[in-house]
Amino acid sequence: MKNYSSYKLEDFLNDERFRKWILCNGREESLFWENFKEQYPDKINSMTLAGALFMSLHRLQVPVDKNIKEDIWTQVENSIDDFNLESEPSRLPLTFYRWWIVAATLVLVGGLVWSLQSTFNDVPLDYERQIGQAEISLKEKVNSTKSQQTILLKDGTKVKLKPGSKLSYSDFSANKRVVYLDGEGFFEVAKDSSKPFLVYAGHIIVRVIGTSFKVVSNTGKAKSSVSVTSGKVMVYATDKLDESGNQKANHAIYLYPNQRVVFDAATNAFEKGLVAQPIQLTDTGNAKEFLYTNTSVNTILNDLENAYGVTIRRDSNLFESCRVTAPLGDLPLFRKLDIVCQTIGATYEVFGTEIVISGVTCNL
Amino acid sequence: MIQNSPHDTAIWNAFRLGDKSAYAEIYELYFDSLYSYGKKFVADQTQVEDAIQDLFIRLWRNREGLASVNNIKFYLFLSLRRDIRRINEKEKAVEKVDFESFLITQNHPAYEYSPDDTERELTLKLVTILKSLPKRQLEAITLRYYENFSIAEIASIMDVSEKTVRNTLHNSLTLLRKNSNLLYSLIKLALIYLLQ
Repeated sequence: MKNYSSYKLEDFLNDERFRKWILCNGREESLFWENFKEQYPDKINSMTLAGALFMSLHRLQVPVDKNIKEDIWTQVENSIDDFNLESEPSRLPLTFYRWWIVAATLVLVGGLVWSLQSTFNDVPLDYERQIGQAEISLKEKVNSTKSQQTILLKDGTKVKLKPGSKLSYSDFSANKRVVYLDGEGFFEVAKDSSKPFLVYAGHIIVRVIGTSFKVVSNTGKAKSSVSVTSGKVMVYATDKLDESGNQKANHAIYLYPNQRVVFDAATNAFEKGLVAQPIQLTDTGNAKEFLYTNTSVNTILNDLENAYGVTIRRDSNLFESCRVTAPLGDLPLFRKLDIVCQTIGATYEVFGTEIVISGVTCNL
Repeated sequence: MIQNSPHDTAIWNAFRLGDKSAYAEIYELYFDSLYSYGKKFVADQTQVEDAIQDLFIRLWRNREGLASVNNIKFYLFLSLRRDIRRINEKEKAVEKVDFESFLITQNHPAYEYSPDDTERELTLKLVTILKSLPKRQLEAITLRYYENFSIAEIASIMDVSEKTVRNTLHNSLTLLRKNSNLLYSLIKLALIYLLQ
């Protein structure tokens, strides 16, 4: 944790949260920094100066014309003749697009019949389209039972497929492990750093090396989500290649354990946060017992941060002298925090992927 | 702004393996800072655009031979600065800046700080002062306090010694101090830190 009590001019300027607060004119992060001012009145001058210096440097930045940025990118793309031809629609080179325009007119008639069919059969469009574009032969598994099914893939990856969900996959002989999902699946991906594992799930693509996570993506619904249990996961939006014809830069989102992202195709926006029920990380040793007797709250919060891989923002100095006795046991993380906070008269809030504790009145 | 982050390493490694979305991500993330940075140091504006374009094309073509990098932004700034230096040398268009001579000799209208001054006014004053600084001083300050590079990184980017960077920053802050009474005690803290 940061030692805010010894913060100096440079520290403020280097603090990402501080910069954010200054940049957005106090619209974000203000709860934290207003609180900070109250706790450290002697830092107000440093803060003011840091803020003014950062703002003035910001004003001296040369504004970027969006068109110039796009033009240069287009030229970069055009100059790169050796883009690999890949099977993924979002990564086709420009020359491929030109070919696509010709092909698209041919498909138009057939497409009409196809879309009628899909309406009648209630076939998921994105999923179906992605499978249709795949260059490798795929096997499809549809869970038409009423309970969850586990599918074991050739590389050792396990997928728990929810009822009504579908998964298409190959034997992974290509240089990537690509699967297609419609519905909900929990993935435990076998590690193979030479072959990234990609889940195409409607509007989003999830890319990992070896990890476990859950994907929910139902065709026809705008919102998809990815929740991570272990390892690191990269999520990005699928480009709609057949509609716009030009390639947009993908914004990748990185997720760590106990984090979750919801993608809303209607607004084209990702929203990152914590999963509803964070679980203890598996790679942090044995499950902790969380039994505390006269322990500093700081220590408890450190334990929780490590065990759940979350960031808990607070003033470490204030919490160090605060001691509590609490058998937290195997209660869920947020229940544990409820108990700690109630004991010391504090409250916590979740902002995105961070938990912020404030309002301590600890004088035990 | 984000330095040595594990994300950087992940994006960079994906890019080196030929992941075009990672490549696009790098462009998206760092274009703005590179552009704004380059614009300040090249006389002919279109040269910056060409330099950035070449930088990214070269990056893709050589991706397989590139080293693993845990700070993409530093790598990009370093490369762009080197290219710009080369352009300037070719064109002989650079003003030969005598680096070590930036003593506290510049005279700027001294600003009196009145307690009524709002943060906004302070910002405006600082903008005026910063604008009047020699290019290299402004460059060092921008790299340090806006782009968040370390002293060592700035030294590599600007191709000078760390001591020179330290001195330049020190001189600049001293100048700010002279010109703004309010800043005095606060900047002193920063100076102590820099001179350690």
